[in-house]
Amino acid sequence: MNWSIVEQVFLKDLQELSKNRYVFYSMLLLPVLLVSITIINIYSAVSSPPVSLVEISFLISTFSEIIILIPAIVSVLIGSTSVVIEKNNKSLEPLLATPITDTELLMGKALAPFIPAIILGFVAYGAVISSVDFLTYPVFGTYLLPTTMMLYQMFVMAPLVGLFGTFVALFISTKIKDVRAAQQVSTLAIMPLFFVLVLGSLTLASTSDLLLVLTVILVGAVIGFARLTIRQFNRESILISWK
Amino acid sequence: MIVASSLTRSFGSFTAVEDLSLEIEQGEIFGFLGPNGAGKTTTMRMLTGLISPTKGTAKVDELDVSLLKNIPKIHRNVGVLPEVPGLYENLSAYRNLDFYGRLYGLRDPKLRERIMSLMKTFELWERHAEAVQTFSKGMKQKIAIIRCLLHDPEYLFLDEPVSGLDPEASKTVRDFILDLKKNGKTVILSTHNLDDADRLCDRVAVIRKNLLALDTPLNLRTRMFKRTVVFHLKEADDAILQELRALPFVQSVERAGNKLVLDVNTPEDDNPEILELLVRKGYKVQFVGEVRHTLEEVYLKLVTK
Repeated sequence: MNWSIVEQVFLKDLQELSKNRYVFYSMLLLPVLLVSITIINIYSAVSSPPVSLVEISFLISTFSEIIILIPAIVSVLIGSTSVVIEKNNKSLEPLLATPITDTELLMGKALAPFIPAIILGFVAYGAVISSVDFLTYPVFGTYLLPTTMMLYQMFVMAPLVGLFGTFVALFISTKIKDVRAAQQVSTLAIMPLFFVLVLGSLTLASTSDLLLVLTVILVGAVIGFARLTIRQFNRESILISWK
Repeated sequence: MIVASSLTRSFGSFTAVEDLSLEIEQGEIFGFLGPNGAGKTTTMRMLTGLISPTKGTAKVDELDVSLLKNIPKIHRNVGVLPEVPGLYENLSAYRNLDFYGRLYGLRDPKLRERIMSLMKTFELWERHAEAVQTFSKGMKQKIAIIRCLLHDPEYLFLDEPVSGLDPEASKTVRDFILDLKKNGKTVILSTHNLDDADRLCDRVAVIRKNLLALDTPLNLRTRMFKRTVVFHLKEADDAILQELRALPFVQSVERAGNKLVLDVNTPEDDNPEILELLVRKGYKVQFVGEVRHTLEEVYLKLVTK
């Protein structure tokens, strides 16, 4: 694999993305909104005493589950756009006429949504951790975040969710010609996973067994969609079947 | 050299190209002619390794296009202009070319110089920083042509290269294609513009699913039509017709006013003898010309057979 070619596809996609205002602002809006909601809720709780540590911990746990939506939705937004734009511009034929291999094209197309999604996820987690600690330290005299659970979510679950969103978006956008339709269908496709993650965490979040089960489900889903996507990303399918 | 042998491509039950065999020599301009849906684009895609043949083989410089491992090597030596320019509309013309240059492994300052030189040739450098979406169809076509020339490939596959270009820009592209040939490059054209094919191509292949004819435009004309010459006389009469018909190489003679219209085998050899006879008999020859059948006539005769 020629990583320089992968890098070029990745950089070009990011540049195109930055020129697409609709996707660019949608991508930024979601983390800002979710982080703001989290901070406002924590602030409301600590500013209306009496406040218990159990109550705050429950709030933090709930909202940290919501933050995990960021890498999934951002990767879906970018992933579906990058493939559909190529289809609409009819730029896949000249692209495939270069020395790029099918794997390099897929890697470039996968990194373009995955990396910004992970970066935005980390930034959002960072903002939540620092804001929550800033708000709760004067009340409890200790830093509540990050918890082990949150670190696990950040470094294991969030990348997996980002990968899942990426492959779902890439797979679905090979079948659809319109950017918004691809985004909507991809978002719908990742919804069941959210229910599993959020509901599972809300009910039994503290058990490490459940986390393990959720991780295994996620890994399975990532592998499944990755295989479906890899099958679609060959030059014959791209030139003949992608409409 | 490109060699295709019994090349066949089917899509389900539909066969787009069947049993196509041909060789394209290094340094020639080769044209694919045929009606819409004749399999020109499919053939070009197979020859460039973009899709695999269902049957048969194609080789570019001995590299089999069906083997996936050969594709990057083949593509380093091949430039492809597809039917649609396929540019990134939101990016500048320069960035479009820069992206492709980098995929071919070119880096600054060589890449920048190459882009600048080609954009200047096609009179687009002034607008290199502007987004492609602001360009006219012809300008986009020029950018797409530059894109396939960036890595200085040995083989150029151009699908309708002058499509959307005004006459001046078309001439620029035609001249550029001829320059490429002078520099030893091999150019493979697919076109509906038969005038261009006639002017540019050393050889043409007329295809409609399979190969209908393959030869130089001149030889195709000769094969399909007799060669007709016209002698313009100051004063003509029917007395000479009998003597002309007696010449072994003359297939037919007609008089139309002061013009004698003759079908002959090879005007280059036969005209001097006809001229000598006419002068000897006292006719005053004003000028001699050849009725040139167009490639369009040849093409129509072949595809409507």
